[in-house]
Amino acid sequence: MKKVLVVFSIAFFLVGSVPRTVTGQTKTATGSSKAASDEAGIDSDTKKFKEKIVNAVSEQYKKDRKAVSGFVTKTSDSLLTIKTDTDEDLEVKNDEILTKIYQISNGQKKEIKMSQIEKGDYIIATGPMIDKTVTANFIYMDEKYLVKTGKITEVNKEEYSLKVSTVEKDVFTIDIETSTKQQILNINSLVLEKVGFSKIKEGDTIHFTAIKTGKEKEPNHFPAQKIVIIPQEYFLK
Amino acid sequence: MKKETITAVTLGIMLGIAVAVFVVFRAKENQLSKNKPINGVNKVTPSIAKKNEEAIVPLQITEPSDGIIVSSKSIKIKGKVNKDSLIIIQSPIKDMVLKTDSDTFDVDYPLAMGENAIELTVYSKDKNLGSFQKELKIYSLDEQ
Repeated sequence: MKKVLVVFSIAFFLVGSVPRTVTGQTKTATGSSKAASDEAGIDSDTKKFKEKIVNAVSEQYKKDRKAVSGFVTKTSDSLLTIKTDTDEDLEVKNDEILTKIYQISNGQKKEIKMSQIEKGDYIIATGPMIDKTVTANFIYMDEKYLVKTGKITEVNKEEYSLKVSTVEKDVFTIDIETSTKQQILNINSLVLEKVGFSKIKEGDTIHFTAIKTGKEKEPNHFPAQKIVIIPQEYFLK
Repeated sequence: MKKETITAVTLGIMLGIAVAVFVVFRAKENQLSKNKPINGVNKVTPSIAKKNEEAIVPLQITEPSDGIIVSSKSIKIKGKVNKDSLIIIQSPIKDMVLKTDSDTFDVDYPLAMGENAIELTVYSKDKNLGSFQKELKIYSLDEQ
């Protein structure tokens, strides 16, 4: 029995050790010139790897840059409090030396002072954000646009206004003014065409844009900047 | 040679081979995990279940991400919709109507300086599905 155990052990170790030896051999360097060329290769690989990391980090930074925007609810020399679309209160810190402040108007930006920003203005701030405070690198005073879609539930031909109900169950009253750009979808050619107020019907779908100043007399009542009508006939085709 | 000796040698060889095979596979696995590409090119994420799930999504915007800051005057909007959908893209500066003949769309859309509120609405070919909307806020800011 002892003999059996001895032979068994020898056979086991002999066969079992073979693969480890083989895998070990693949990593062994064979000569000094090969080692040098390997080192040069490693240096070049490291350089490429570093460049890749730098590029990836830079791209990621560009992608991750975020801005916050909202109506100003409180002002002071170095701090603005804003209310965002989601009713969140955020603080925007202004650094007198580092923060640049601009007003955007007609596609142009003009540098302004912190003191020119008032309660009720709409601002965009960019910079690092910790908790609910943004340390602003840039502050832009801009206009707030609403872009909404809904179904027309009422056409007021005397007031030239439309009552619109959105999917979120919000109800808007929009005034159609002489400056309002009015278009309708041609259901055959699927091209937008000019339309008059008289052609708009209850049940049609409307896409509209409007400027929200935050100083409206009635909530959700705005003059429309432009409208696009999808006639109900499109859905019956 | 005795019968016991032959049995012992055979068993020893078999066990040795088993251990060798195990060690080789472990070594290969270790090697592969060390050489994993950093850009995740070989990452296998989508499953058949996920593909089916995506197929019924009426509007999926794959590019750009909401709230992104760019310095350009236009942006590429890419997404997935059901085939033959009608897409209306609206912002204060542009109204666009698209009829898709595939399940993807890809458009260049102009941007104004500042905040760009862009609403995408999809009307599926199947009118019973109704419409689906997504709003994007894109900031076109020349930060200098």
